[in-house]
Amino acid sequence: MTLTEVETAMLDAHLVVHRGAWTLDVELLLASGGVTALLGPNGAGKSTALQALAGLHRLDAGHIELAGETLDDPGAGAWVAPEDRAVGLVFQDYLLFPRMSARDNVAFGLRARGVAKSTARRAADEWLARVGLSEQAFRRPHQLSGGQAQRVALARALATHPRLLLLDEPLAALDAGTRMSVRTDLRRHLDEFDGATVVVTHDPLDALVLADHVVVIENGRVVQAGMPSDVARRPRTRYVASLVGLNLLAGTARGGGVVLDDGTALATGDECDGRVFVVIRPSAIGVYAGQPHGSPRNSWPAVLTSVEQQGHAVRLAAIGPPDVFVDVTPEAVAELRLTIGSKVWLSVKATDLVVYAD
Amino acid sequence: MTITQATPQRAAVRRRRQPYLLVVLAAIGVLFLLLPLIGLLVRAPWRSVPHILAANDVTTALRLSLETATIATVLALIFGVPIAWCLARLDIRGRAVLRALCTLPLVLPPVAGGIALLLAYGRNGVIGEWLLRALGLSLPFTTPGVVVAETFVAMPFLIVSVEGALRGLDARYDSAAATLGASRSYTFRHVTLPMLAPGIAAGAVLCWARALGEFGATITFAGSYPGTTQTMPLRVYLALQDDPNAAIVLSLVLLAVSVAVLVGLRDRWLTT
Repeated sequence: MTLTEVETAMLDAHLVVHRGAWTLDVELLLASGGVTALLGPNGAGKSTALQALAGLHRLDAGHIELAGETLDDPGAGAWVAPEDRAVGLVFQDYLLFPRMSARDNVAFGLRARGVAKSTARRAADEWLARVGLSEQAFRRPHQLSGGQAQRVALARALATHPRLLLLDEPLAALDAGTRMSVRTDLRRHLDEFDGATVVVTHDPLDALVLADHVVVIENGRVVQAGMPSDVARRPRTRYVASLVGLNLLAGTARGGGVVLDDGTALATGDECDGRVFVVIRPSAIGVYAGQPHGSPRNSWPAVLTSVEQQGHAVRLAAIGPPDVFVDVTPEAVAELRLTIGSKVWLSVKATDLVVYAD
Repeated sequence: MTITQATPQRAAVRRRRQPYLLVVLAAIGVLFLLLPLIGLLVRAPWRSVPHILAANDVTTALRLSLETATIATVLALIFGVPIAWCLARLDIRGRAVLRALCTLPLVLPPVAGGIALLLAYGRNGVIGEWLLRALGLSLPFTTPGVVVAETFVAMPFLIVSVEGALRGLDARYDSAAATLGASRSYTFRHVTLPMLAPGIAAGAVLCWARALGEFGATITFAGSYPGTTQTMPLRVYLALQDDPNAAIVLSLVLLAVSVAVLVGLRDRWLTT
């Protein structure tokens, strides 16, 4: 890390939280205007990380520095209470105060900090206008739609001018229809926000649309970090691979081939050596009733354990080795009479394998 | 053929019959609760009601009862709501013990409570002696003594119902308020209290009704002096000794007041 990077970092955090035998250990470095997505399965520690940043959960070790101010550092005995942090948090279910109007919800943070009622209300009205809810200003939370409540919660968090904005599964409570438009909207507001933003999500699409940096957490540890497109193209764990719909195999490369950890050998196009990941698109794998002959250089027998319609394709789970997911057309399913327990041959061209170093 | 058909039918009938037992038991219970009230209404000497009311100076006792019960409820609100908040939200050691102590008057016979109050605040009591010497204050056998006895007995009702309401609230609203920069006391005043209002109202009504009916602790600690400590329940009991008809009429007055308050508050507060 160079000196200039340290100077421009809005958030510099090393989050360490112990909970029994389980440990969260995550480092985050965000610039002003940066949006980082914490992606991971349930129980990975995403929410704990968010609570630590907000001050709702104390660190056991590490540190949190925001805009040069130390918020939490157990080693130095430093801790700033949540109400004294320049951190805004949008909860998954928004937690709008039910007995207040949308406007009073947005004005709440300023009022709590001692801003005069009229000033706070004027600021709240401006924020409601920015999120397009001027007409809903006097509605109670239960009179708002899910998408509107989400925007009120965002306006409420931003109205206090935080330097760090935390979003906990911001779209999880919405139905699929409104999710897309709210996501696009949210992206626009995050672009205008000059502080740092951390989005917790288990939806890879949220991470791809909203974030410029993705940190994948599994079991309390960072397993992969990088640009969203890189993470999507070159997953490093089975979890990430399944999120983006790819087959991920691990093995050792030698010359023009890879010996997978399950013992099978694959011919690859690339010359590579050492520990590697092999990624195969499910639609790149061919399914045959018998052993195929001809150009594909990799083929192996497999048994189907599941056959499920997904959109316009049918996804097969096949036990090899290697075990893979395969996408085929419904016509192929009918033609080959594919069902659970079917014995088939799978094949993939060497040029369809993406190989990269571990 | 007949057997295979009969079995599922009988099973269906048996399933349908089960609730009847509950309904019958509930009906008996309702009768048990209502019959005394009906008895009161049926046997009331309706024709001589105005005469009895005039002769017994009901207003003095009634006003004393309403005033002391209301003051006791206000005191219970001032101290009981914070107690409930501490019990529900503070992570303190010995919380179970503290809750048991605060709600002890719920299970303590009121007469014993009155004796305990005498030992604490009486002229020779643990604190009463000091109160008398330092401030010249004497609680027993005074109107403030009535308020103390009623508060002692009724406040636990408020604590229990407010703590229950607090536990039903999502504590994450506190977290949300904190991340918006609100201190704990600001959050309590502007977020928790408004959400808690129905629970507090219900607790206050329970507390007020219990204070209005208080008998044992009051007569033990404050005595029964007309005008200063003789509340309606004491007046009723006294009347029963020499004029049962007067006791019935006075009970009717208490019943009417209680029903009026419950009905009046229900529309405004208790239905949310």
